[in-house]
Amino acid sequence: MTSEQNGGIYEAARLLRLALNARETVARSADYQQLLQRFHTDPEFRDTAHQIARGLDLQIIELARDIGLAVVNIAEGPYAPTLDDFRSNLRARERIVYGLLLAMLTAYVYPSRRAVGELDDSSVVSIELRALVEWASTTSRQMKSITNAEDVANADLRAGFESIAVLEPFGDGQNTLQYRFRYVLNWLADHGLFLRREEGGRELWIARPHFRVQARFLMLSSHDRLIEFLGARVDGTSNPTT
Amino acid sequence: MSDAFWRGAVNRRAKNLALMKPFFDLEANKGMQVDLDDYDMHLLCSVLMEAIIAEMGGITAGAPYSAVLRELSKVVLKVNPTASAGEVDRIASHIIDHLSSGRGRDHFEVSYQIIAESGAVEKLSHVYRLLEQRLSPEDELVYVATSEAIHIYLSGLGHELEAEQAANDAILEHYLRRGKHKEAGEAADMERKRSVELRAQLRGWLIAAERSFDEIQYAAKVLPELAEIRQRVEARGPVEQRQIEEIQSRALQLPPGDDGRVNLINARKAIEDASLEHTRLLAELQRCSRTLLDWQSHHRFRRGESPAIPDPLTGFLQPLLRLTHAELAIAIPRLWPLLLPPRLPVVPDLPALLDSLLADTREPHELSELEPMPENCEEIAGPNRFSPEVCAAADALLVTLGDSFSLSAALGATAAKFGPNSPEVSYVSVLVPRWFELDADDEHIARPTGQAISAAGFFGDELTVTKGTAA
Repeated sequence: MTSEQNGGIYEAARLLRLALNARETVARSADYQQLLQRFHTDPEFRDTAHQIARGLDLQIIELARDIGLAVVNIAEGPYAPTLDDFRSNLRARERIVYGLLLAMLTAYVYPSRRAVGELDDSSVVSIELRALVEWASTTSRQMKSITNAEDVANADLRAGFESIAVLEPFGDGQNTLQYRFRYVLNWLADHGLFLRREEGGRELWIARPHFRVQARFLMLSSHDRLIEFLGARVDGTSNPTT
Repeated sequence: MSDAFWRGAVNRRAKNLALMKPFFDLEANKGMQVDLDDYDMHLLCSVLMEAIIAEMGGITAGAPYSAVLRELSKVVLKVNPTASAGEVDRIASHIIDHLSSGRGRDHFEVSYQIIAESGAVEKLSHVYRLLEQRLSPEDELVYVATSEAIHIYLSGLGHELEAEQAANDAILEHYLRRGKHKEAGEAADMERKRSVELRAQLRGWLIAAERSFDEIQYAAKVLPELAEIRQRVEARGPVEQRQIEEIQSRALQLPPGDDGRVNLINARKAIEDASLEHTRLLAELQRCSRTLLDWQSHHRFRRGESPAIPDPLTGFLQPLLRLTHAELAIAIPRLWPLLLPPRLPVVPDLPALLDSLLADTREPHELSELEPMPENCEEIAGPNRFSPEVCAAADALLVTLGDSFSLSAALGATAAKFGPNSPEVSYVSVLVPRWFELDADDEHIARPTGQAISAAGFFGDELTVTKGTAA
């Protein structure tokens, strides 16, 4: 291996290190800018970066040139997040509610196939918390009224939308949709997927292009799994393999 | 007029008219959500577009909300001089919400008919946005107009951009020759907007090319088109230079402070901006050409919208919400982490761990969004220390109690003399129990009696205090 190749590997690994932090931006880091330039113009370097990522069970996703790269997990490798990474010590039922809220947020931000698969990565979506809360409450309550769901004593048999529908949208305390969505948004902002900005006295939550990549990845990966679950229910068989 | 020319013209114009629908909708529905009856939405949209396109040529390559608000307020206040800042903000936000298709969550889709080559009428649809939100290099939200919006705004009802530029050059020259300096300034400003439009057009074209490798023919289509755009942009250079010189010489003939001279200076500034815009465009073209060539040779194009992506509402969210908790308990541990970004694992590092544990202060870390923002933290004033006067008064009272007394008696006597809520009572309640700790230099010894304090307002073990040192 030549020293030039060695240098390429070193720089490709450095680029990956920068890309792993979604809060890092090309505009703020000359190093990132330089390495990204090489990534886009040197095919060999790009291949090296992709191979290093693959070795770490990661996948590099190219965003618009002025934004950088996004990285997603492709297996349960060392970089795969665990449930404990999000508000550890949650009881299982609480965890599920937060999981559903995260899914609702994703579908709210990108309500159509076109929005998730947006060609232009550099355009972003911004949302307001109040509108999100109202939408989530209405959606879950509509689903509940359409299915005529009756309250069941066994919590395990309760559908996801019921758990959301019973939550008050606004109010004091932690048991409201507003509180929980704010927590989720803050958490995502903490990880560089959202930005919080003020505009004319309103609080706007901006979904960064990295969030779209994660959302796309989630929807692509989960579809088959969900179909499998619902199919198993129709067949009357037990849950799919865990 | 040939049939093909006529067909091309009416088809283009039909499409452009259809694309204007969001503007008409805004005017037609202005009373539905927000009361905007006093305002003409066409005018407000025009002002807003003007502000955004002007800022697109700047460093942030888009207009921050404050710029939109500033320009819009000028017109709103003319219609309603008593309009508050809140009202201007409400109007601006309403227009932006609409023109950006729900702040980027959606798109506009219009259907229109064209006359096909066969002569039959065909129905087509077009998906687009008028405004988009982007992040500036400083991660601030800015608004940009799409190429469709710029085209509509500049009244380009079906003309070719190149032809429009040529026409604009002629207009500018005409006004300069006739001494119509104000109009010449406007024509020059139009030049600048056209250059912004050309850049937006190129950008949109590039994105399409970048994401649909399988569908583009690099050698047959892309290369000639790139060459054509470059030629067009390069040709602007001498034209703009000539216009600047012309304006300069005319401006020098006018006395300082003359309105015409001011207009000409503004016109020169607009053309210089346009020229700068073209320089940037050339740089982008060169970079794009290299990148496309590289992609072509390595087949690195990416596909855009994947047909495999399920519909977010019906194919993803609703099935997920229908699962029971028992099913979700299995599904979520697999699905949920997919949305989370990669976690950075901590590698065991004993030296660093020890350094961290023994450090006087922790390394400052990047401020978390989950922590309260410093500016939102209220300073809490600490309790005032007992003043020397309070201490002296309480000490003097304790001396009067003799060599032996109980804690309750001390508290009762202090409350009787200084009042139950006095700082002296608080001081005694803190001072006496300290003697229980038996410091060597204490002049009193306090011992528990095994009973509870009998003084009102205090709870705890009773102490008996005797004079003397522990030593």
